[in-house]
Amino acid sequence: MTVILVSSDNQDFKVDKEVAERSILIKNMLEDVGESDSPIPLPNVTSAVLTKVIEYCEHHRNDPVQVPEETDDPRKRSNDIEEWDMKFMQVDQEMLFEIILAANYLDIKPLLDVGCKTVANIIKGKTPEEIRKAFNIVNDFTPEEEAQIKKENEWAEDR
Amino acid sequence: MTSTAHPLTLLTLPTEVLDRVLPFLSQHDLTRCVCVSQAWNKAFVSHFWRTLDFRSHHSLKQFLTSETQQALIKNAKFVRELAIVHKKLYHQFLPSRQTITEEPGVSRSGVFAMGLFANLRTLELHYLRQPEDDHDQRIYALVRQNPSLVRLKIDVAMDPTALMSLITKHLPNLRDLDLSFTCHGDVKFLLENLPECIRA
Repeated sequence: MTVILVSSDNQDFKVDKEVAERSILIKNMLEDVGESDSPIPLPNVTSAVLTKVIEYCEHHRNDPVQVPEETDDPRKRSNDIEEWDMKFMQVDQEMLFEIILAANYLDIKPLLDVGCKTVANIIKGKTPEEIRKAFNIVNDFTPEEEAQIKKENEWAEDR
Repeated sequence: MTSTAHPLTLLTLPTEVLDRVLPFLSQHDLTRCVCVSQAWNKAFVSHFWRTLDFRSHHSLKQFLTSETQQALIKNAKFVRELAIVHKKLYHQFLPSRQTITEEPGVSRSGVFAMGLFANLRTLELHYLRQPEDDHDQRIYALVRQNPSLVRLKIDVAMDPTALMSLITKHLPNLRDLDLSFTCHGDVKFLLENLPECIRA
């Protein structure tokens, strides 16, 4: 069985129900309407982003449903992204954020998770200046303010 | 999603996205994040101060500088987890004899623990092998000031009867009590009389 998803720019995407249901939002919508072949409008997702999201869902169509891990350690690992996902996430930053936003809206937890890990990995191990470069951020601290914050937080630096 | 004039940034994404990124960042990463820009500072500062844990002497020395202490007073409301693991920290965090009876928030002689940690959830007290004579009273004063506590771990010799009354009177939210080495007296008494909702 297939369903038709309609992007914000009015393009139709025909996908297997099983693939579309990787999105909990769509799964719930389909359950609510019951047997129906009316297209599902996704006014928050452009066709460019939806193409990527469907590519992800196709690849992961047979994955078991994720059980949230219960750990005592609130810090999580971000270096366990599988190879296909890593390649999939090699997009420009605008697209990366678009995918995260879409995954959040469509409620696709594993994709959201991979997106957030990718962002964390951009931040990890970088100096403030490198982070600014990576995210194209302007440093709006005065040198005095920056020195002050550094002093206040020095205790938490790894050495 | 629909193209807008402003490109997406990490901070313009819904806040739950940032909340999902944060667990992957270490305290060290967070020291870098708060230095990036004003907006990043605002977004990350509460997470930076969330957990105060000092396992290395080096960070302890840095922590006791006056700059850090001022910053701590400013940001104490963000602290959720506090582990007091060195004798020096006891001096820093425990209310002194004089301040015990004073108003919350009053800082005197370098002690500022009173009532500042409004959102503290977890408090760990470790390794106080040679307690001073009034340390029980001071620890009680600290704990009493933090009724938001949910988890309490005590690795310090304390009187179980007094501890018991402290818990039942002043810690309505306590769910998790860890008494690794604790009381020089009757621990059994304490365990038998704890309210049922508390896991010991």
